[in-house]
Amino acid sequence: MGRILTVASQKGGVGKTTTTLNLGFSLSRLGSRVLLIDGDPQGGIAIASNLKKRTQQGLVDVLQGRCAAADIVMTTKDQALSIVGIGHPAPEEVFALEDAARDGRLGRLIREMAEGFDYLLIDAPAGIGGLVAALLEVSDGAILVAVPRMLSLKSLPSFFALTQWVRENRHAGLGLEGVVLTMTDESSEAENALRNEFRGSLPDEIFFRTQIPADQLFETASNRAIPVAMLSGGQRAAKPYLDLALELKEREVLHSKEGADDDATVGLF
Amino acid sequence: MTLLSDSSEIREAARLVAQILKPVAASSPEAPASPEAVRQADATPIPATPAVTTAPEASAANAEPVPEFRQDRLELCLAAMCRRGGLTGAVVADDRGFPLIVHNSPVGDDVLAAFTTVLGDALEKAGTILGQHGAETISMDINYAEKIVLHRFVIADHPYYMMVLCPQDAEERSEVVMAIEQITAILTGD
Repeated sequence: MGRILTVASQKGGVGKTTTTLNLGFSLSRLGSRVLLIDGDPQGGIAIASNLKKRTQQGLVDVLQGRCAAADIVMTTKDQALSIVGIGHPAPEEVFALEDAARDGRLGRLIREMAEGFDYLLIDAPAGIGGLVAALLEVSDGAILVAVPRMLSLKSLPSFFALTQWVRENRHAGLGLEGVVLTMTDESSEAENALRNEFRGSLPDEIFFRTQIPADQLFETASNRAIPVAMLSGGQRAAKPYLDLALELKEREVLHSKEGADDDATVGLF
Repeated sequence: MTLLSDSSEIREAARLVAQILKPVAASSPEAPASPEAVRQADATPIPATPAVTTAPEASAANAEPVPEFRQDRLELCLAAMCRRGGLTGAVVADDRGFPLIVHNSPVGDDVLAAFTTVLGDALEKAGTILGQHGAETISMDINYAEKIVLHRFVIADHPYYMMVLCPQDAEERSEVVMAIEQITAILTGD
């Protein structure tokens, strides 16, 4: 089973869906088999990828018994990236989804889907509610998306608190994969000051070195429902997400050797 | 310019991150909880528990027994207002600037009180000069991210001021009005 990572934030509009889509696409370009799961009842990933072109069904339909899990995994043209939508839940189905999150059915479904993939990235809804907690419960790591604005940064404790609560009460294996700052504007001195002070206030290891600059091309790509790297002139805007994917893999390599016994190492051959 | 290092929220974030970076105690389940365990844990609403672990004032605000002393109740009132509205800190002072209630003041009480009287005077003068004698709120951006809002209110014919420090995009007005109602009720025994 691949690594399950939830892309989340206590705030809305910080770029969770954009990060899920573009990070997932970048990981797939690096050769990994990636599944993106829409964990947001608003269906951000489905919209961002124009999934309806392939199917209108999603997680809620499987949970309601209307189709099988395999029916909703839509593989993209390059085969390395697959996407699962949330479906088109009616209000009562959103309540049912939250029930499924509480009683563990959603978690079991997600774990079942992770088979055969290297990464499963979940686009979580904004906030710190029960659905987000349930998604974190089935995850190996959380990628916290934040924008360098005062309100976004000062409300981070609520997400950290939820993460720690899940670790202590539901899933000790959950880790904080890292905080990625998005929509940055290095030309703003005020923002630079705020960002630097914020980074200086917390352990450096929790931050991804890579930051995602604000770029109009993300909006253009969003309008066309594709990752920014698929735009003809999108490589520059896509580069930070490729860097982020590399950094994610780099962290995995580093963590994989933590606590390893050198005496048990058998050598190259 | 210090923007965040004095912020209680960032200190709280740092404390929580330090916990997250530590391994969870061995007694915690390594694997995801069984459905039964999940159901049992669900007896506690999910957001409530982190709030208890993160904010001491949050647990105090939710605690059933009302504090015995009036001053404690007043401070609790300000703390709850700040928590609800995402406000950084608040102080209530009388018209001479004497601080009566303080929560999470970013500067010394005396400085805050002095500033309260300065803004209070400005509010009085604005009412006179502009002919708007009902003016009761003055707001001032103190840097690019935060503002100070001073709200005048009257209890038993005596003017008091509540000064709030908050992010510029905070919608503080309803929280301030609600807190003033609570403070008035506590002070007048209504």
